[in-house]
Amino acid sequence: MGTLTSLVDGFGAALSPMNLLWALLGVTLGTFIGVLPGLGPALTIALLLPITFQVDPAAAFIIFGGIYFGSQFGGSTTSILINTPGESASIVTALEGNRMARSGRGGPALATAAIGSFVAGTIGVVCLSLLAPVVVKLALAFAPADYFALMVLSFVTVAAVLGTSVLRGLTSLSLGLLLGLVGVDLQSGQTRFTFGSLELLDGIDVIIVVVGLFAVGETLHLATRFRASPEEITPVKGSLWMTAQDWARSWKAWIRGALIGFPIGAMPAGGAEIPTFLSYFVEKKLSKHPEEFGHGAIEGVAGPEAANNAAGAGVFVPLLTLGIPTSATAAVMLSAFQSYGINPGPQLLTSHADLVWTLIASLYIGNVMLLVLNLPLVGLWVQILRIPTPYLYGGILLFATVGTYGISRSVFDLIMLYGIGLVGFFMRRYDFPTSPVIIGMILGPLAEQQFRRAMTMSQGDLSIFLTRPISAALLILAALAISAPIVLSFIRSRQAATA
Amino acid sequence: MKALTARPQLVTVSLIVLAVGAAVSWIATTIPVGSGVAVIGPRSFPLAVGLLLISCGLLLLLEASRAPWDCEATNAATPKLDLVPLGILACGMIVNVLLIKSAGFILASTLMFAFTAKAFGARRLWLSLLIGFVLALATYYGFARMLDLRIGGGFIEDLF
Repeated sequence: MGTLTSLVDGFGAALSPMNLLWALLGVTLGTFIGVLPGLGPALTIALLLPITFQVDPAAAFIIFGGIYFGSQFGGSTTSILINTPGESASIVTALEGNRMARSGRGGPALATAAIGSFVAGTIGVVCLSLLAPVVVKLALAFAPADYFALMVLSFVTVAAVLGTSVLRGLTSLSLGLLLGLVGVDLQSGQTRFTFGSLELLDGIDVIIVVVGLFAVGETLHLATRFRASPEEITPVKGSLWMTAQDWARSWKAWIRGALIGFPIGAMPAGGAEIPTFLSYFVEKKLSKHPEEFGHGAIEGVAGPEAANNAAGAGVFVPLLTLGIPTSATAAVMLSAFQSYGINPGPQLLTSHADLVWTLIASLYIGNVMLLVLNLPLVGLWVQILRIPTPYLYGGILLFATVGTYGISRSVFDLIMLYGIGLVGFFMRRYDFPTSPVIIGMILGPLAEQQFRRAMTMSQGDLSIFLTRPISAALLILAALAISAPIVLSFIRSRQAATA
Repeated sequence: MKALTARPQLVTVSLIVLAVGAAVSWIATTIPVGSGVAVIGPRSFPLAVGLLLISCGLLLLLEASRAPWDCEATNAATPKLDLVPLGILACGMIVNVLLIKSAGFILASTLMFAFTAKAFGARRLWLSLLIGFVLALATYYGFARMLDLRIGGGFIEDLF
C-alpha cells in the first residue's frame, strides 16, 4: 500500500465527526496551555494520560497531537505579548516579537507567527508523511546493538542540546535513568531500588515525575520570585493584518524556517531550540534590514516560529519510526503508546498503519484548525493571561493533585509528587534541565532491554557494539557530541584564565 | 566575583549528586542476581547509572571549585530567594497530604488552593476558598469522571 493511499485512508478516519471533535478539543486545550506561561504540552499530555484507558488509541493520539501543536501556537502568543517565553524554543520569538508588540506592531507579529506556524507545520507534516516510510525501511536493518547505540546517541545529544551545559544535562539524564530503573526488572524478576516498598514495585509513574517537575517545580520556583519581577502584558494595538510589505518579508522566512526546522527536528538527536536559533541567525544574515533586528524585525519572528513548528512535526519521525523520543512531550507520548501495549518502532507503520496515518492526517487538520482558532480569536486567548496568578497556580496544583492522586489514591504518590517538585525547584535554581529526566526515564528501560538483547546475541562480548558498522558509527557520533562541548569549554576557560 | 558567594551552594549540589551516585552504585551491587542464565543480569545497568552519577558529581565538583557555573543561585541580578511564599506553599501541600485521605479530596484541595493563592499574594481568603471549592468540585465531577479517576470519598464527596 502506497503512502498516498494510506494517507487518504488516514484522512478518512480523521475526518469522522468524532475524531474532528477530539482534534478540536486537543488544539483548544493545547493553545490554552501554550498561552499560560510556564506550562507545557508534556505536562498537559501527562495529566491526560489516563484517557488512554477510556478511548481508542486514534482518539487519544489525535488529542495529544493537537495539544502538542496547539501549545506551540499558544506559546508564541505569550512570548510576543509578555516577554516570558513559555519554553526555550520560543526565546527567539520573544526577542523580536515582544519588541514589535511594544512598538504597536503586536498584531502583525502574532499574525506572522500564526501563519508561519501553519505554513511550516504543514510543510513539516508533508515531510513527515514522506520521510516516515523511508526511515522505517532503514530502521528494519537495525539490530539490538544498533538500537542501543542510537539510544546512546540520542541520550547524549538530548543532554547536550537541551540546556546550557553538557555536564548538567547528563546529570539530569542520569537522574531520569535512575527513576526508570525503580521497580521489578522484567527480565530477571528482581526488584530494584524499591527499598521494600510495595508502592514502588510497579515503578514510578511517569505522570508523577512530569507533573512534579513541570507543575509543582515551576510553581515553587515562581513563588520564590514573583514578588520581585511582576509580568507585564503588552496590549495588542492597531491592526492584526499584515501589510503587503510584512507578507513580502515573511513568506521566505517561513519557508526557510521550515526547511531548517524539519531536518533537525527529525533527527533522532534533534530538538526545537537549535533550529529556532539557527533560523534567527540566517534571517539576520539574509535580511535587507539587519539594523531592525533587536528592535522588532518581522523576519525574526516569522523564521524562528516556522522553524519551531516544522521541528515539532519532525520530532514525530524518530518517535513513530524508531520509538525514540527527543523531547519531553514525545517521551510522554511514547509512554501513552506503551499504555496501549504498542511499542513504537519500525513495525508500528505496518502493524498499526491506520493509527499512524490517522494521527498524521489529524496533524494536517489540526494545523488548519489552529490557524482559524488563533488568528481571529487571539483577543480571547490574551484574556487567559489575565487570570490572576494566585488562582492560576492554585488551580495548577489542584489539577496536579487530581492527575496523580486520582490514579492511585495513594498518599505515598502525593508525597512523591511534592518531593519531585522540590527537586524540580532546585534543578531550576541551579540550572539543570528537566526534560532529560523525562527522556531518560522513558527511554532508559528500553535502552537496557536492547543492551541485554545485544549482549545475549554476542554472548557477553562487548565488542559487538564496535564491530557492527551502524552501531560503531552511532557511538562515535555520540562520543564526539559529548566531548566537543567539554573540550571547547575547557579551552575557553583556559583562555579566560590566562587572559 | 559574583559567583564566589554562591560557590558553597554549588559545591553542596555537586556533593549531593556524588552521594546519590555512590548510594546507587552500592545498592546496585546488592541487587540479587537470581539463578537465571542471562548474560547481563539486573545489576549491570544500575551500576552503570551509579558510576555515571559519580562521574557527573566529580566533574560538577571540579566545575564548582574552578569556574562556578551561571545559574539563578549564582546570578547577582536574581532577586533574593523569597522564602515566605515558599513556606506558605509548603504548608498547603502538607495540609493536602495530611487531609486528603481522611477529609477527602475536595476539602483538602480547597485548603491547598487557598494556601497557594495566599502564597501568590491573594488578599481575600473567602474568595480563594470559594474559588478553590468550586474548582475542586468541578474537577471531582468533571475531569475525574471523564478520565474515570477514582479520587475516593470524603466529607463533601459523601454528601451526594
